[in-house]
Amino acid sequence: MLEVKDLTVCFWTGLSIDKNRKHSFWAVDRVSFSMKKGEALGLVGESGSGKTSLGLALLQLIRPTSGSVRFCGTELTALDGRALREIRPRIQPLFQDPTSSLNPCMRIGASLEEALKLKAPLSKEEARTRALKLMELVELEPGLYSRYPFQLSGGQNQRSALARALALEPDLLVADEPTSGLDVSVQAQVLGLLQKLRKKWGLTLLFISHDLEVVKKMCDRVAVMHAGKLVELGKTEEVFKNPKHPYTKSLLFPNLEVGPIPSKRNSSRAATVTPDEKGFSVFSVLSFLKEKFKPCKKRMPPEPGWENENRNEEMVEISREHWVLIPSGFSFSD
Amino acid sequence: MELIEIKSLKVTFPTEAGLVRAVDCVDLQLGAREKLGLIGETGSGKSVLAHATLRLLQPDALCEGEILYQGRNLLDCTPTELRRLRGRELALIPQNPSRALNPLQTVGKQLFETLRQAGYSRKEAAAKLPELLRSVGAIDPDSWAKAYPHECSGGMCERIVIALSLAFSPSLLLADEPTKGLDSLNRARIITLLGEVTENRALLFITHDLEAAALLCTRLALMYAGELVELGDKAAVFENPLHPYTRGLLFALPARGMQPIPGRSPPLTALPDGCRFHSRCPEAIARCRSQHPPLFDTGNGHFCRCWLYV
Ligand SMILES: Nc1ncnc2c1ncn2[C@@H]1O[C@H](COP(=O)(O)OP(=O)(O)OP(=O)(O)O)[C@@H](O)[C@H]1O
Ligand code: SF4
Ligand SMILES: [Mg+2]
Repeated sequence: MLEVKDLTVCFWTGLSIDKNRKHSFWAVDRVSFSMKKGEALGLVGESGSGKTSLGLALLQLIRPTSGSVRFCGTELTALDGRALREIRPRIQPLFQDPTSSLNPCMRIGASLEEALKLKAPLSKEEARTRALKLMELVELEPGLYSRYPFQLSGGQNQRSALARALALEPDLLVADEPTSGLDVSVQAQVLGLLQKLRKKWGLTLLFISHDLEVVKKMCDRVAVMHAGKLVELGKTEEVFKNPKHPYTKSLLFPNLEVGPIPSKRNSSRAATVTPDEKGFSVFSVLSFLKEKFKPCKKRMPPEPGWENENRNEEMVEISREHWVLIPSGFSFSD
Repeated sequence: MELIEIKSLKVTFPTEAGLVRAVDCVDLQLGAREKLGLIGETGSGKSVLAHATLRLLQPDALCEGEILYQGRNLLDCTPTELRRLRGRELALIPQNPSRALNPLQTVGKQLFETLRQAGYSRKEAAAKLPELLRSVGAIDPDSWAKAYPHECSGGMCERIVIALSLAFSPSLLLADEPTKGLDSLNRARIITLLGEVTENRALLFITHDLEAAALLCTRLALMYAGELVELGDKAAVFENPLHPYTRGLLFALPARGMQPIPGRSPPLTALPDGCRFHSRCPEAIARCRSQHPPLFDTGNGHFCRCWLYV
């Protein structure tokens, strides 16, 4: 359904905070992957690793510098103006900052109706009922229909943006951190909703997230991105259980636990985050960070190491559908 | 003495659909070095509470009750008094850091001007600037100072906003979801940083990130539909959550099964009689439907708004 090949995005910057790359900046560097219909692919990596740029380049919201994006057989990078406008409803973004995809001067209901009318001409009543149905779908209470985005809380805005994206009945949803800013219960609801839509509509999902726990639950496959490059790609289970690339390993350091599971028969598992004398255990975070970097330093070749751009690297399929970016002359012999 | 004392605070917004009761009768105290985590449903009024404390709500918002800061009621302060208090004594780290920065000015310039307003001379401000940036974790403060906000990653923006809020060395820091949208590494950095900079300050930490709240805070407050439903020591709340909403929330964590609480919260324009959680509560009893529960003291400073704890 979606095939991305050697996609590269390069930003030109006059002055840059990063001294080493003065004038150009490779946000996405020769990324290739493909997605089947109905699949959920998780894209993880630290902030600044180019995940958002990759998403935007797929949507043709920024034009890639080189490479190809084929969507259902159509080469998106070759399309211009009108042809692109026609195909756009089928690939919808869901951004990290929901207010950026909602018109601040438009009531939520009107925003949804506008999107619905893009798909097919509708009468006023029809549009209204369909909009209310969408709001129902994302669990927004109907009373918010005539509110403006600034009158909503962060989470309500996020769900309005989701409703708007779904109004166009897209085939592919590029969701960039769709649940940041939601409480965990609403997060579970929204994620459950996305799963349901995948089953019902065969919605394909590119799921960009920092929350590895969520990715583990949501995605069939996961792609790990570092400094613009895909460094590992494989079945979620496989990558989480058996990470190969040193960067993936460093990313998967154990998440902190929030105390024992609440239950009548508790006390068997003591709280992992009991307050120490200082009142909080921030120091445990620090030691986590230290631990986090130990294993990769050991396994990595000495500086400048695998981050060096000029190094020859290639994605190698080390086991079935498990791809790892391997610098030439580097082996996983341990 | 408590640093800040919120007494039966009510915030309502008039809208076309009726009065929105965003914050309803919230009582909360915060000691001088206390770290309180404020958790709750999206739209339950956490940000409104923080903005009301700083008197940053839009003019049509109606605030009732008292917010005593060192004995002074903030709701009675004049605009001049407020300007002096904001930033200097009470600082907010807003929910959206990149919006809080001026996109047309370099980070250094914005910090410099804030420092100038804090009463530093030009020379002092110039000397203090790198120090301030270093205190929020910049290894190379000069390059940070030269950057424009759009060149900064989410984690950097967050730290710059924290630096801005520290320019005046306030005694209370209100942080609105500072770890939102950050990757695990940056998130840990921000948590560490907040822990460091609030060692001698009070912190009101609004978050959906339960792990972060567990790491940073000593006490936790949970909000649902505009009111406090549970308040207690962190360990007590996590190990022995009393309110059915709190229990539901913990089971919605991805690591614990990702089970959402069924249903949705009531509209703030038409709140139900009785317990506001009753339509979603698995443990509801007959009286929950008709009688609104008060906040019960269950001992050891653990409070819960639920009829199960009469
Ligand atoms: N200006 C306004 N006019 C009308 N209603 C408003 C206004 N601002 C906020 N509200 C409503 O007040 C309620 C509380 O909003 P608030 O922003 O405090 O939520 P929150 O707890 O911070 O949620 P989140 O975690 O999603 O940020 C919401 O239901 C929101 O719709
Ligand atoms: S008062 Fe009743 S409905 Fe409300 S939380 Fe307690 S048991 Fe549930
Ligand atoms: Mg908020």
